[in-house]
Amino acid sequence: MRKHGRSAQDITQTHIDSFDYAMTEGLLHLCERLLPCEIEFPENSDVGMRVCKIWFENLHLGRPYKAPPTEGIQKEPRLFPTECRLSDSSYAAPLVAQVAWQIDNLSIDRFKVNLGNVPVMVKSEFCHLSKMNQEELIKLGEDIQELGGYFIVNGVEKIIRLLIIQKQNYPLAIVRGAFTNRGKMYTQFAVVIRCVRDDLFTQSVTVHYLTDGDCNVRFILRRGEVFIPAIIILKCLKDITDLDLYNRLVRGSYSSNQTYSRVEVLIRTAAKLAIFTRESALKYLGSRVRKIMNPPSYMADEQVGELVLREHVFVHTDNDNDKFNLLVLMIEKLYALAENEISPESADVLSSQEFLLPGHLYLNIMKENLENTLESVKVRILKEAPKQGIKIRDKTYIQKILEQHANIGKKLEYFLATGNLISRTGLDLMQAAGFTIIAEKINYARYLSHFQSVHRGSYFIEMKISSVRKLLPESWGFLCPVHTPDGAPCGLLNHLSSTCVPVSKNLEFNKKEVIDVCHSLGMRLMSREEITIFPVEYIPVMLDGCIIGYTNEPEEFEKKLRLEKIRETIPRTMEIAYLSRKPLFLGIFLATTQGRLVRPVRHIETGEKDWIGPLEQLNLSIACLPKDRKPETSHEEFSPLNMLSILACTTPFSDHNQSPRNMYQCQMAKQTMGTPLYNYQFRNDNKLYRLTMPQKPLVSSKCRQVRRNGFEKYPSGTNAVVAVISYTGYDMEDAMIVNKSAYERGFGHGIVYKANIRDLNTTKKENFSWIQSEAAKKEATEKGLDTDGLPFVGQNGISQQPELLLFNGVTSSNKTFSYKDMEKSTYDDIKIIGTDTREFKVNFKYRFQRNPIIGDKFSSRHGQKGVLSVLWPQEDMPFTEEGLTPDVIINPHAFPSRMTIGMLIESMAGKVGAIKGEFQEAAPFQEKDKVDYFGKQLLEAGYSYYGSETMYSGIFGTEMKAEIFLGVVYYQRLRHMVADKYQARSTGPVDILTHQPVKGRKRHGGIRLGEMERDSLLGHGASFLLYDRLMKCSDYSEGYLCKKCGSILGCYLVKGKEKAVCHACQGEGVKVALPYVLRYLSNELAAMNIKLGFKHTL
Amino acid sequence: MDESLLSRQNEPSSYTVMNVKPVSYICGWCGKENEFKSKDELRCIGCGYRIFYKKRLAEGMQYEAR
Repeated sequence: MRKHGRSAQDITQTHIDSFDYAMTEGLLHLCERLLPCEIEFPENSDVGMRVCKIWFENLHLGRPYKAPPTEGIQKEPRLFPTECRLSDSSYAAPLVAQVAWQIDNLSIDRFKVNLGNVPVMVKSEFCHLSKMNQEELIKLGEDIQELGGYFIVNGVEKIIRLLIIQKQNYPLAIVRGAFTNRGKMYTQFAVVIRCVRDDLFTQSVTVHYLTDGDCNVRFILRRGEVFIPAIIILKCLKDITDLDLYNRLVRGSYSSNQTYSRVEVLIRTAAKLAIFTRESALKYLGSRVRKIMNPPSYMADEQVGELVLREHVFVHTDNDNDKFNLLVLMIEKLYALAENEISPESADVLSSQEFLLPGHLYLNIMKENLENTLESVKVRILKEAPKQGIKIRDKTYIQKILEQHANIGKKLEYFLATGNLISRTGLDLMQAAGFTIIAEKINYARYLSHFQSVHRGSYFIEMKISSVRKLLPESWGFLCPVHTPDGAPCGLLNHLSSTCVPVSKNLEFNKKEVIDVCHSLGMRLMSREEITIFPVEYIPVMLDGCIIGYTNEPEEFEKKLRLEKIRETIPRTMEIAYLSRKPLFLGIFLATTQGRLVRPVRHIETGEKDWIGPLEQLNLSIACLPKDRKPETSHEEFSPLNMLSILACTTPFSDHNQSPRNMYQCQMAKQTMGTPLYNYQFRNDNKLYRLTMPQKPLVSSKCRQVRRNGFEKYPSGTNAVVAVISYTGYDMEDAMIVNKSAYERGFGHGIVYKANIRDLNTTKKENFSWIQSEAAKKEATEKGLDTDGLPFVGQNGISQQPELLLFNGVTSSNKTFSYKDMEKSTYDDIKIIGTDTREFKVNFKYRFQRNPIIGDKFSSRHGQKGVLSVLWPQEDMPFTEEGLTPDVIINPHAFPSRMTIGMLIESMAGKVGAIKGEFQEAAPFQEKDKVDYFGKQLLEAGYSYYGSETMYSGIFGTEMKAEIFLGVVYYQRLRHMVADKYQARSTGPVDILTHQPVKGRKRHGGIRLGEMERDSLLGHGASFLLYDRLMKCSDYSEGYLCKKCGSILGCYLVKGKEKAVCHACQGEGVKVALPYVLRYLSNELAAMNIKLGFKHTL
Repeated sequence: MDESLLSRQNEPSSYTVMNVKPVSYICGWCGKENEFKSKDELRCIGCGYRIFYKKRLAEGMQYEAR
C-alpha cells in the first residue's frame, strides 16, 4: 500500500494496477484454470475413439507497435497514444498464445497463435508511457500530467467504470420475497456467497431455506439454475457420518432454537435419496448436471460431479474440506436467520459490497472469449471432419483454424467501444450494457471524477424502489455523500471519498503465515482431516471465505490481530471485521482480496495508520474529531475532510452551505469551461473547451486533497469583483449583470474546438486523391481554397462554403466538400493522415470564438448559477468610494432561500486576499470563526467588518442608501452557451408524411407549441394567434371537400376542368383549408375501411 | 463568397496558380516538411510517420475585424 500521500496519478492507479494485475498474474492463473478443449474423434475403427486435447499453455500481452511499412522507412515502430487519438485508431497490443496440443496423452506439441490486438490501458505496464517522465511525455505530445487509466478505441478515450458488486467470499444472509418463486417449499430466507477464484472467475452459490427445515443449494451452470439438496453437496465434499454431521451443525446447542430438528430433516433428505456415501452423492450430482455440462463420453458421473464441485461450487478454494466447512457455516447462518436469531443483511449496504475493477472485468471477458474460441474450434473441426477427413494431426491446420476463430482483440474493442457485454454466462453480473464511459475532457474536474466514479449498475436504474439510492451510514469515509448527481442517477452514481482506495494489487502474503499468526494469538485451528466440533461459545474465524479456526476470546484476539496488522506481520490492508453483537452473525471475517475498499484512519493506541474496510468499520468506534473520543474509541479520523471526494473538497467553505448547494456545485464544477489539458495541438476530441484567461482562485482549499491532485495547474474560472445589489432590474431571477469593460478585458472569454475527420475511403464510386491539374488548382483558388484543395490554416469556415476539393479517380472529376456547421469558425489546424490501406483522412479542427454573450451561463462555486442578462457599460455601473466598479452584479434574492453562506464568506475572503495579495484558505471544517477572521482583516484594511461598502449610482452619481456587499468571488463559466442552443425558424424543412415542421435544432426544425402553450393562448382568447401557430405556420394545405359525401380524399381538381368533382360520388367540390395531417389521417383510416366525412356550411 | 476571407481573392485576375509554390506539410513526428503528389502514400520521407499538419502561411491571414 502506498504510504505517502496521494497525487493525481493515484486516482487512476486503481485502474492501472487492476489492469496490470489482470494482464500479468491474471493471465497466468487463467491459463492454469482454463479447461482444455477435448475433441473425440474416431480413427482406425479398431482403436475406438481418440481424444485430442487443445489448451492455452501461456498467454502473453505485448506492447502496441505499428504495422511495418510495405515500402519506405519507419523510424519509430512503437505506437503511441497520441498517434491513436489523432488518427482515430485503437491503442492495442498483440495477445500471443502458446497453444499446446496433445493426442491421447502422447507427446505434447506446441505452437504460437496471435489472438489479435487487444486494447491496452494507457500508462499500464503494457503501455510505452508507463515508465516515462514528464519531459518524455511532453515530447510525445502528451499532457504534462498524463494520468492514464483509460483505453483508446477508435481515437476515443474510454474508461471501464468501477461497479459495485457483492462482497466476495462472504456469506450474506438475505431475506427476499422473490426467493419463494424459486420452487415449492422455498422460503424467503437464503444465504448467498459470491465466490471468486484466483483467475477472477466468479460464481455465486445460494443456500435456500425450505419450509420443512431442509436446505437446497443453488448455483448457475451455463446460464441454467441447478438446485441440489445441501446434504448431497455436503456428502460429496466429505465422507462423513450422519452423526458427525449432526454434531457439526448443532454444536451442542439444544436449548432455545430448533436447529437440531432441522438438521434431522436435512439428513433425512439423503436417506430418502438412498445416498449414504461420497461416491453415491457424487454420482447423483453428476447425473443431475450431466446434460447441462455435456462432458466427454468417457467421463463417469462421479467425475462429472467432481468437475462441477471443482468448477462451480465455492470456487474460491480448491480444498474440499474448506468447501465443506463453508457450507456448514452457511447452513448454520441460514438456520439462525430462519430462527430470527440474526437480522438479515442487505445487499445495498456498502459493508456487503466491493468493486468490480476494470482489469478484472477485462480478464473475465477475455477468459470467456478464449473459452468460446476453443469451443468454436472444436465445432469447426468436428464439422469439417467428415468432408476433409481427419486433419487433426495436421498442426498447420489447427493453427489456421485457431487464428481464424480467435479475434479476441476485436471482441474487446467492441466491448470498450459500446460498453456492451456479449456473454454466454453473463459473468455473474446483473447487467449486460453500460460498462464503459467516454473520458470527457471538458475540464480537469470532470476528467478526474470519471476515474473516481462508482456505479451501482444499470440494472438498478429502472428499479422503482429507492432503497438502493439511499445514503447509508455504512458508506461513511468510502463514498462521498455530496458528490452524486441529482436526478435519474442520484445515489446510483457515486464517487470515492478522497482517501478511500480500492485494493487493486494482490497483497503479497502467505496464507499459512496468517493462519500461524492467528493461531499464536489464541485461535483454535480447524483441523484439516478430522471432524472437530467447537461448542457454540466459539465463534468462527474466516479468511477469504475459508474457516481457519474458532476462538472463544474474540475481543482479545481481534485487538492482538490488529496490532499484528499495524506491525505488518500480516498485510496492512487486510480487513479484520469482528462482528460482535447479536443481531449479527458472530464471527471474525478476514479479507485480503482485491476490489475491497480500504481507507486510512489513525489507530489511537499506536498512533499508526490503520487501513480499514467497510465491514470492519461497522464494528469499530472511530472518532471524527478529537472531542468525539469515548472510552471505547479505538480509531480516529486523520481529517474530517476524508469523508468528501476530491471535488467536494474544492468547494470553499462548504460547511457553511446548505447541503444540496454543495451537490449542485459538484455537478457544475464538471460543466465548467476551464483548462482540461495543455496539449491542444495533439488532441482531436470532438469537442474541447478552453477558457482563454483562466485564473487561480484567490480563495481555495489548500487541503491535501486539492493540493495533491493538480487542481492548481488546471484552473477553471476567474476571480470577479461581485456586488450583491438589485440594480437596473437586469439581475432578477438569477440573471447577472456583467461589467462590459470587464468583458472586454477578457472576463469569461473562451474557445470551443471541434474536430471533424473526413474519412476518404475508397469505394466503388469513389477513389480520392489530391488535386493535381492546373485547372483543379484554379478551381480551388476560385473557391477560396489553397492550391492543395484544402483551406488555409487560419482561414474562416463559413456555413456551406467549400472546405475540401479532391479528385475522384473513378468519375475523373473533382468533388467539393463543404463546411457544415452553422456557426462561423476558424480552421485552427488541418491534418492529413495516411492509413495502412493507402487511403487517407483529412482532419479539420475548427476553433469557435465563444466570448460571453447574453444568455451564457455562469456560476460561483456554491451552486449559484446565473445567466448573463446584459453587458452593462462600466460608466453606468455603481461605484465605491475608491471608484471601483464590480465585474458582476448579482441579485440579493439569490441568498435567503438557498442559504449559501459559504459564498458570502468566500466573497469576504476574496476581498481580503485581493487587498493583501495572498491566497486564502477555504477548506471546510476549519476550527476558526471565519467571518471574524476575515472581518477583522477587512477592518484593518479600512473596510467595514462584513465587507459592505457605500456605493454610488453609476447613472445618477447619488449615494445609495444601503451599504452594498462587495467582494471577490471565483466565477466559473459553464459550458452551456446560447450559441449551441438558440433555435428559431419561420419556414424550413418539413416532415414528408405530415408536412409539419421537423423537430430538432440540428435539422433547423421548429419549436413545439405544446398543449400547455395552447391552453395558455386559448385562455387569453388569442385564437387567431393559435390558428396562425398551429395551422399557418405548420401544415397548412388547401384542398377540396365533396359537398355531397364529405370526403376530402376523392375530391380534386382535374387538369383542364374548372370545378373539382368528387370521384367517388360525382358530387361538387368546395375549396377548403385543412391541416395536411388531417388528409393523412383520412388516408390512413380509409386504408382501414373507415371513411371520414365532413359536413360543411359553406 | 465571403469577401472577408482573404486578400488573395481580391487580387487581380492576372494572379495565377502557377506562381504559387507547392503546399508543404509538417510531419507530426520529426517536423520535416513533406510535399505530396496525388498518388503518393502519406508517409514522411524522413521518418515514416503518417500524420501531417498543414503549414500556416508565412504571410499571415487577414480577417474581417468584427
